[in-house]
Amino acid sequence: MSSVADASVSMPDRQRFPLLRALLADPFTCVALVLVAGFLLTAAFAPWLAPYSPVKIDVLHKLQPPSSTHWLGTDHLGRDLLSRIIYGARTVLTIAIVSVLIAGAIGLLLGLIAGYGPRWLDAILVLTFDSLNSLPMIMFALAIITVLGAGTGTLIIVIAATSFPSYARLIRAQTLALKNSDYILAERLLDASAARIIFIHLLPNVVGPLIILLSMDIPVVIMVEAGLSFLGLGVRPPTPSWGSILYDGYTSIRSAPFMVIFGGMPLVLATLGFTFLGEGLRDYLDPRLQLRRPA
Amino acid sequence: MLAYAIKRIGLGLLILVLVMVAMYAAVFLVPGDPASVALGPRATPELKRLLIERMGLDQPIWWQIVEFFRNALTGNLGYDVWSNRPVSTLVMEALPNTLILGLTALAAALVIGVPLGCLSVMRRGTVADAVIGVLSVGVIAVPSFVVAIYSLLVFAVTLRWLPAIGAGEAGDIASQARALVLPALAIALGWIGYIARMVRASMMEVMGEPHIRTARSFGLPEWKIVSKYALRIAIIPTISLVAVGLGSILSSAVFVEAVFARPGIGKLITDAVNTRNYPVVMGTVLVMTAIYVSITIAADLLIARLDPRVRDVFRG
Amino acid sequence: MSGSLAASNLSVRYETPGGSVHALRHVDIEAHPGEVIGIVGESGCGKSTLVTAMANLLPANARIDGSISWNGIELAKLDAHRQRLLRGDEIALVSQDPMTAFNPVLTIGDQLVDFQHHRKDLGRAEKRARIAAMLGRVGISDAERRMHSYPHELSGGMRQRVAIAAALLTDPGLLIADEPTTALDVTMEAQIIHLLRELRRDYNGIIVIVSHHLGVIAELCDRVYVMYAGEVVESGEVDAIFHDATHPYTQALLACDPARFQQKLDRLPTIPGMLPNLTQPPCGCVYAPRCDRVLASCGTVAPPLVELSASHVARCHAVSS
Repeated sequence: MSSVADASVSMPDRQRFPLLRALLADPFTCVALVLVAGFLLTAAFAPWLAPYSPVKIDVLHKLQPPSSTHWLGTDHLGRDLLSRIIYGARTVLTIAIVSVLIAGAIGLLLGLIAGYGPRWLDAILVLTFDSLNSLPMIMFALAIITVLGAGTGTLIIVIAATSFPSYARLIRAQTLALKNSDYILAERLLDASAARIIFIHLLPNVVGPLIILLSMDIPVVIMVEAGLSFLGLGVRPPTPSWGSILYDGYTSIRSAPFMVIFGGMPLVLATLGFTFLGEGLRDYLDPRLQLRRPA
Repeated sequence: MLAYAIKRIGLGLLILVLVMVAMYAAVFLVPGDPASVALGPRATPELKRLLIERMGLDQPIWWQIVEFFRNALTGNLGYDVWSNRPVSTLVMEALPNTLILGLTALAAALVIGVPLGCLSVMRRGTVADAVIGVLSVGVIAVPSFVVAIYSLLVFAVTLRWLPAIGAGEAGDIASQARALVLPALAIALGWIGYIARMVRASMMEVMGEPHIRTARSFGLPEWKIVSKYALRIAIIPTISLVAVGLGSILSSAVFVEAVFARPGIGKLITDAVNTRNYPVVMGTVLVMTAIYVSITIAADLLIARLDPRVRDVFRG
Repeated sequence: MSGSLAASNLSVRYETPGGSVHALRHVDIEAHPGEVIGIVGESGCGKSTLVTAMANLLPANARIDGSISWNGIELAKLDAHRQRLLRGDEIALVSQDPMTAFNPVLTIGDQLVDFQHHRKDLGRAEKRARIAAMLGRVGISDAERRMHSYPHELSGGMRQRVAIAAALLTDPGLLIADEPTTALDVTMEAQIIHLLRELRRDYNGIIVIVSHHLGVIAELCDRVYVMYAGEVVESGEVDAIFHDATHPYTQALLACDPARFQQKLDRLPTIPGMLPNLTQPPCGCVYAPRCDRVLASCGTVAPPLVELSASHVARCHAVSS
């Protein structure tokens, strides 16, 4: 697997910000970039952007359709829908980024150990990765939730535990390919320490593809968070989550369909934005990586 | 081939055992015993003792695990903590609905996705190809349960064309089929895009191979080259990806069943998780993992059948 | 079905992001029924482009100037559908590498049935009978069983025989064999050459054999075209080319053929230098940079076509002076 080396060699031109230029050249990636930036800014500045508190209950004004006071209307407890969606962005993006980073770190560590360590350890780790990978993700997730109980922490553990095996496998494959390459062999003949080889040579080369994979998994994580929260197994109320907003809307789909319509929009836009951005990144950095599976 | 099959099945069984052992270990390690967690504030000492006995929690953990597998081999997956009905009965009641949903969705995705991928290849570089490409990525991105809710709103609530909830009347095929349309399409939509993309990508690779030039040099029509000479090879990686992806079809089914209140495995396990009904969760996870692992093995064997080159590697 | 093949002043260039690649320039070729013509030259000389143009298989980025015609039909002017109707009916191609020429997941019989698709008058059983007979004719024993084989179950030589059988099954007026023996080892090569020689006795169409191997050409062909950097530099009867080569490139090529060495040599002879860059072909003689008889005019003026005898021509300043 020489994709890492190739990816870093094949940077087309030496202009400034070549990555950004390449991403902006494609209209879809461009729109995706704007969407993603929008969601990140919304999440960061939620307290300044939201017109109301996301948890302030006002049963007298429940299920109100969109108006000048409540732009997107209110939910079944009279909470402002727009504010809940804005804070929901904060919830989902925090969970997504934290859990993907944790999974990435675990995957990186175990992948390096499997690829660089002794063969018996490699065999055990690969069997573990394969076993975890061969489970239907949702069953695995539900089993963890049964044991730990629903909540934000569980959600992060669930996502990290279900996604690290694929990262570890990627890192292991890259490490193995690099370990047997001529230049690493030369380093080893020169008595370089394992730490030197790992930190100077392996890490910089395996991190690129890992980042693409992580970025492509963000929309999946958003979907899992929303889905589990929709089932009441994710973020605990009253913390605003796009999934629970959608569930609240779903229960009043006949009387207040606007809640479902607005509640689903951020999910659609965020997953589209992150997916097309991930596609753009992949096309630029390593077109041979495969497309992610549907959510 | 046989040796390969045995090896794959052995590995599959090993994975199943590992998973269940890990689950038991996790339950055991969690602070607070499952019985009081399940009962919550309602716990009285008698109730707790009863539940502990019923769940077999008074036995040592290794004994519980051995018991579980011994019972599982005879088809006994334990009893629902609350209703005391056998878990195997609950699973068998729910399973057909989920399997029909998943397989219908997969079939729909293949029937629509493969021709779309082929069309993309035949019209490569044109507007049609580009539109299929962008739409594919778009539908892959959108979560299936959001599609489910929107389609529920449009086709069931507003237009009233199709039923909003349930799996249809028992024994009435037409009503069951009508109840299947929206959930199956909600799951299939993303897969249509995914399969179209996969088929296109592996097909483009195959179209560059010399034997395609041979077929062209004999003047075979393009549709025949694409649908017979290229697809037979290009479909092989697609099949393995689809099989591996069946796990996410099952995941989607859990959410989509919740949206359409369809009595399937998804609803069964979601309710069980919410009430901390361990035997039901364990039994369902075991059955679903077994199904999932066997489908993956079946796909591997099917690939070996489809590709005579692989077949001979295993034969030799 | 028989007809004549003619290319006159044929040029082909490929439009690529890096500029136009002039793969073929001002090529004249003529072949009549019953003739076997050979096209020889080193890798990159334009042989493959010429073959691809004859077989109507040029990629979409190819631009054709001049004329290439089969039986009076201008091939470059045909629409895609009419081109396809000619392929595998009147014009058949035996591709370069028998190892990859067949679809790996379909049986030989299945593919050879499909390749006869122009014969609407035949049923499946009749097509299979024809295949069995033809496989026998090209020297494959146990033809019935071989039809059920997948390509990877056959040896390279056997696959090349199947490829030749496939081409002959279509009763082509023009049979193009693109490097038919290059991918084979020496004994297989001899067998395939033997087979092709037998076939030409009772075949009355045109056979075009492309090779960089002079021995193959000498054994099989009536007339030879020597190509260099997209141009035909010398052409003539096989005897004239092999015994009376005039162009410096042909002479150098013959001098490099190990089979023709008179005595043991300490070093294998080579032609010094490299092929010119075909994105910017030189304005004079394409061979001038590597030629040992170069004249002052060679670098600036395109050499004329010198007629040495009725059928023997060379494109060279040194020959004309």
